[in-house]
Amino acid sequence: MSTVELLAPAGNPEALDAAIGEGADAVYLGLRSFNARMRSSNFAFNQFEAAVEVCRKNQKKVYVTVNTVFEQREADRMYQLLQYLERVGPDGLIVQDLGVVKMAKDFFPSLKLHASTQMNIGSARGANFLSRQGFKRVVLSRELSLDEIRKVSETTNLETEVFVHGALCVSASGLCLFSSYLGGKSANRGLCAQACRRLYSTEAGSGYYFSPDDLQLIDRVSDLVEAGVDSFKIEGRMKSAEYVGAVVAAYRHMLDNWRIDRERALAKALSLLQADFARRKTSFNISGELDLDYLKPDQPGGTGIPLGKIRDIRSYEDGRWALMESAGAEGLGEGDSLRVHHADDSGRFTARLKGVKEGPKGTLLRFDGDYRQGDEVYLVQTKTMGKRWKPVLPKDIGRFHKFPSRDLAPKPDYPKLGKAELEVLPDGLYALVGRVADLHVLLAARPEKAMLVFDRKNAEGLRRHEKEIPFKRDSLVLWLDPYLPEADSDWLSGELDYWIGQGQRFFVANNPAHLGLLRGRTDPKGRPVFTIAGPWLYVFNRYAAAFLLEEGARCVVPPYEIGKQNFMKVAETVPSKAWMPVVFSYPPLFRIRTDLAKKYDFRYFTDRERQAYELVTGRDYSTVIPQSPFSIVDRIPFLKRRASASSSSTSPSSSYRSRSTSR
Amino acid sequence: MKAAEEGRVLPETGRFNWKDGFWQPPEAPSVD
Repeated sequence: MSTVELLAPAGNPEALDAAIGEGADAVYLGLRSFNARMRSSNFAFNQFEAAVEVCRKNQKKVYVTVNTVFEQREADRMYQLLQYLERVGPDGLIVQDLGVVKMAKDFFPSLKLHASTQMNIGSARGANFLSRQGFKRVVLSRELSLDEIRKVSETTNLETEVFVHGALCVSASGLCLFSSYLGGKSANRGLCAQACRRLYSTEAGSGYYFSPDDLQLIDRVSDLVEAGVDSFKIEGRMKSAEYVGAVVAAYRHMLDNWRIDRERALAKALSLLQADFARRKTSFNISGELDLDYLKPDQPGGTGIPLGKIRDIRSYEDGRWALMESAGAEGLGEGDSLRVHHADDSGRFTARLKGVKEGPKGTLLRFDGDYRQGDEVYLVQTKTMGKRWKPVLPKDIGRFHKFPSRDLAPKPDYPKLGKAELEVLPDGLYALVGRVADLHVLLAARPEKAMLVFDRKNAEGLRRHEKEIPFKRDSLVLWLDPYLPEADSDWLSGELDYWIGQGQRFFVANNPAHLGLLRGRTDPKGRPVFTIAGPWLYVFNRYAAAFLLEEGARCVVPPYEIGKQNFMKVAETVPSKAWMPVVFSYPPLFRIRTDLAKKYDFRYFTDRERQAYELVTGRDYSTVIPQSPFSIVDRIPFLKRRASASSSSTSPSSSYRSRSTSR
Repeated sequence: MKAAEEGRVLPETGRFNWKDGFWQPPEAPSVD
């Protein structure tokens, strides 16, 4: 038997039955608030308490997802939830928000924290920073190679959890604003609308350009075990119990048998995965050479086995029949579940198959629904998959009734910021550019300070043109790239040593690893490095602000997607000079760890509503930005007025961002 | 920069979530 944990999703009690029934060692599940899958049915409190009790008796573990950010108005509810979880005692909490970390550390220290993949931890430095905060485990970001996973596992004392199977995000973990930008449905609030899976248009045509295949690492199980991974995670809290059962069975078999006969174990596991009716599969970046074929523009973003397009619609006495373009009725039967995807991407629906027959012109399928010619049909579940597992939860769960209290959250403590510290950044406009050459353009605009995205390419440029940088050290801020995979970790550490040694003092931290790298540093004159907490550290509440100020940040840039009311609430109690709200930007909506110019030759694309976006490609990564920028520059007087009115300090610094992602 | 200094509204720009904040799903019915 393997000692590596097999961790399965439980989006509902039936999926829990399937996971445990097929041999998962642990499950992760969400309650009905503050979790990243608000669209799955999740667990009621008493169901959750029963699950924890039964699983504990059976030596199975239960982890709870509290992996969204919370707004200030929700602070009491978050406090009540954490208090409740401390009483129930699950085996771990999967968290994203540094405000949750702060609350847990201060008030509920017995909670065992796991860093969600949404925290974007891809390096041992990031993991070790969280280890010092009391974390037990890190869910590594999904874009890491096997070598990177091995190195992180070897050099952190945290347990490492790695996704091995299931849907992928097109964006690097935790760096996606796409769904939020399109309609306020933020992935960081558990409401991802999967905008990446929609149809987009370019000059040359249209396609599902950003809809990735699903991850499958069944053939890399032995490599991952030998790399020191502690937990294999299966994605899919939105998936059916049948899916969970099939995937758990496959990985259980592989984990338990690969040492005996790897090839035979793999063959059996792959046959079990035949019942995974999801998308086509990819091993993504595990080899370290990302296979760009994981994005297939001709493949609609939904799940299921493709049965082809509807060529025509026939009406017979017993109803409407869809004549399929291609044959393929083999194995199909009444009662199977289909998903129909409209040809123009205007919608999709599921239907039960009511009849199948082979006609002279092809296969005919009968099912209900508003389907049209050209729509794509997928098989998502067969009737024979309707396996039932022994229920985990007892029938009577009435005796489980701990429930959250109505207690109010204590106010967070802030470290006292001295006047001298607060005066370091004068009020004014701070402008961020994405290329070293653009620093010269900024000269004429005379910002308070210039900011430069500090990634590998710009770092090389800065070194090359060090003597020609048009800003003095104290007028330049290096905006650290939020994505820090293990492969870049030593490099960044060396670069920071170099630039701090050259007298560079101002940095924007955008990843928890950056906080560890910058903490306690001084320049050659003995002046402390000035750390600004960037928007990718997601300060949506005062607790997150307090966490970052305690960890050495002296100023906070709120997230791009923060709302006005929430910002004003969060800003009420922190000195206004410690804020640097973004007032203009082309926000990077999502980010891909590869140069997409190798795959796509378009630069601009539009969505169904004719909104335009730009695909910005580069040697090391690609991003997507909107064509129309975010701007509240007209609200600067309001920001100054409100922030000064709500605290005793003077007006806030305001940042002005130019095209932060342009290359 | 000039518009920012003068507090002018810029044409063809958006507010992202600034005005309304996040979309709020209806509260799930309690079955606890």
